[in-house]
Amino acid sequence: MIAVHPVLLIAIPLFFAFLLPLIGLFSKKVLKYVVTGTIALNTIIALLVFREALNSPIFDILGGFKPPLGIVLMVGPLGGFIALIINMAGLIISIYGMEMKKEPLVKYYMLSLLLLMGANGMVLTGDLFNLFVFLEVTSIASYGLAAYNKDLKGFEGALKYVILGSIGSTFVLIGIALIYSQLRTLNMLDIATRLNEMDPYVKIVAFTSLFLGFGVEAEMFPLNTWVPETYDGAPHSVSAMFASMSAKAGIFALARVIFTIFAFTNYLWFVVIMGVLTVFFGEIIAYAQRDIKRMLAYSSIGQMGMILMGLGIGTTMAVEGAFFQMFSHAMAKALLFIAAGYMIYATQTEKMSEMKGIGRNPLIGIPLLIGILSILGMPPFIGFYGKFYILMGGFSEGYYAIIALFLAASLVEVAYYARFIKIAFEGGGKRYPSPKATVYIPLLLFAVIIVIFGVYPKPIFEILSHVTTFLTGGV
Amino acid sequence: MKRILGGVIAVLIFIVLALAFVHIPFGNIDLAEYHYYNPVDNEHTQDSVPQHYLDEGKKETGSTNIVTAVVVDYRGFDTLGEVTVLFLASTGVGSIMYIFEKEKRRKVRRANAVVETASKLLFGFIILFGAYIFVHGHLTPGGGFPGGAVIASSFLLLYLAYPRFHAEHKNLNIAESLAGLTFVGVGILGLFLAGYFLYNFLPFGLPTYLFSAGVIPVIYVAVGVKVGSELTGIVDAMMGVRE
Amino acid sequence: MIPYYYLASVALIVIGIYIVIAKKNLIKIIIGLDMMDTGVNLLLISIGYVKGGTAPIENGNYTLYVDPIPQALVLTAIVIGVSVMALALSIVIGLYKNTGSLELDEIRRERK
Repeated sequence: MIAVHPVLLIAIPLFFAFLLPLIGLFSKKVLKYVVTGTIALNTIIALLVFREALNSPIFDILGGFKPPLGIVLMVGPLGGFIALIINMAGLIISIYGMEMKKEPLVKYYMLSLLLLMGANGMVLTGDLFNLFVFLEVTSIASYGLAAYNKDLKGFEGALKYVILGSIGSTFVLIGIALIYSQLRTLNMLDIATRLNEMDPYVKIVAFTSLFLGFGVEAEMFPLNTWVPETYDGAPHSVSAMFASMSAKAGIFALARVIFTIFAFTNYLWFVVIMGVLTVFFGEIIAYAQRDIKRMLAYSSIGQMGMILMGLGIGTTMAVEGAFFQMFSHAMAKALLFIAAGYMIYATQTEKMSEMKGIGRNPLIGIPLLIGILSILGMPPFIGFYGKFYILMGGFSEGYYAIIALFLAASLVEVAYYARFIKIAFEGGGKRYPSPKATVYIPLLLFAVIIVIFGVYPKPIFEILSHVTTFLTGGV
Repeated sequence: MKRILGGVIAVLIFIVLALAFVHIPFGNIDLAEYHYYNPVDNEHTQDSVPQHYLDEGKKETGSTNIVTAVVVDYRGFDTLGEVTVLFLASTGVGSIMYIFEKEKRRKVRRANAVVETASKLLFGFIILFGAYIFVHGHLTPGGGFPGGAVIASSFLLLYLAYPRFHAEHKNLNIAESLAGLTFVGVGILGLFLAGYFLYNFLPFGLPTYLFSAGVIPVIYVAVGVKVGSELTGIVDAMMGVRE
Repeated sequence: MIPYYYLASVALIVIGIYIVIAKKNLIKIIIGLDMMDTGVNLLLISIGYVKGGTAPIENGNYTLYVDPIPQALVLTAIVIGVSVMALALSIVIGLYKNTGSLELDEIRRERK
């Protein structure tokens, strides 16, 4: 018997999302508290699920039919960890989301709850087709949220996202069709054990299709052209959600396709190359950006590429680094997007060159600095461990050329963030309105997490020691 | 330039996929040959998933229509996700079209008397037919989704015949929410009663009777109402403008 | 035997992809997306076909049925496709109201 059912992580947001329109009929003011309360409840459940998953993987059988006949949720330590990160980030972002003023608010809250639910489902499910369904839940919620501002920029970004997202989901379905036609099953572990019954060529095509399909959500080159415009056009809280929730769910789905389902060890070079291309594409173009949100979006692509590289190198160390990077990037990038939201609001412009002295207010400046340093991989913050472990992993595998490229990209990253820091802390700027509680509380919370686990990363490494089972096809 | 690129990519994908599908037999398959592996109990079985559904489906779910048994019972969680997707679509469309609601409706010509009268007459019958489809989802082809789509089409007819007609948004939202809550509620009830989310906890009854198959008809009625109100909501939002 | 059904559905998918890449009219692009969807659904349904099989609704006269799972999957995939289409179309309506055009080039020029 399971003490806490992981399915609650999906059922609770769904239930409240269906309930919100009814609540909205009576009072629109309580909506934001209901949403934050729901996500807080979800975070507590995620914590309980995660604690239980650390001991042994949880299989939550749905409908009472044993897999592969029914759908099963399977939560290992790593899945529980990612789910916890997603819910935690969602909780903190929802505090910032309370500030949202643009109507229709009910729909905004419904969409954001369902985005959380979809991301949770993508991380927890153990069934390939169910993964596709949750991928669609996540991406359709994202399409709606991306166009929420209802201006030209928002619509353009959303349209790009819809087009690439549909191509991605077509590829996922082709992959599923290929696998199903040869094995007549959809359960991930069932597929993994019977993989050798498949024709080798069909296997590679199926892998490539799934890889490309989930690559859209995971911001992989060349399917990531939607990222800058969508992040730029979306409301600020939504950009933070994309970076910390849906992108993380996407990359974890990708990791499970690579390791849990296919366990391809001799095609990992392909993943590394895609990762390096993604890093380069992101970082180089980020350098040329003048708008803060576009720069952050491209930087997000670069970071996702680093995670992909870590997964592709495939040693225990590198994959640990990749998971650490998922954690640090989710926290730091959400922080930066929220800070960017405040800065755009305070300066009335997106141009970085006009944000002189915005960081002089310590309530903004300190978290901003912490977030940027963590993204850059400076030692006392969590961003350091991810990058360091990926590098060391690559070093031990002899990917020297790749490491050189990685370091070069990191230098570019340092250059453009340093440029921004210089402007933000320069004297002689205007006086800006000081941030509201809904802005600085999330910023400080993220900053505290970044510092605490940066100074004391031991608990995270204990969780990540389960990477060894993950790499050998465990849950 | 784009055309050449598109052509090259398309041809490449076609070749790669066509070569893969040459390996896959069409029609000449024996469903019982694909023995599955149960990862929870860690055992290799002599059973195959589709064959198990065909042989045991009626016994295990009480539904005569095996596709319904798969959709609502064996893979009911997918259907919950699917309902969510439709809900998201109607929410998203409503959110996007929100700003245009205030605009003045453009001038439209009235439909002629034949169309108006006929649609008034047909409206009730179409709704009845839709309800029939989703109520009998566990016995005959069809189910909640086609039934809901049929119901939405009756509203579409009214929109076409009467340019000034519009469905009350509030009522659509309430129907949508209640139906969704029923679905999730049935799932959570199953969790409390039997320990499995979406467990079929009602008695199966006699196969081929209307009141059979446990929770399947309950879920399909909820899905039907939900799909009907959601698609109507989408149509309404797309018509957009309202005075 | 050459699997014509598979080739036809792959062709539909590929034509859809070509349209999405090559065309500049938003409505055409959405038609392309819909063709991709249709192709994949046709693909899934043909995978479940068993020679001589009938629809999986038990009635005593038949013993051979086709695979029920792909039919269930296609049902889900169709609904998802419809939802994506609805959202895509509403986004296009939004773009049209903002710019008065459905051509990608003109919309880009508008933004500059």
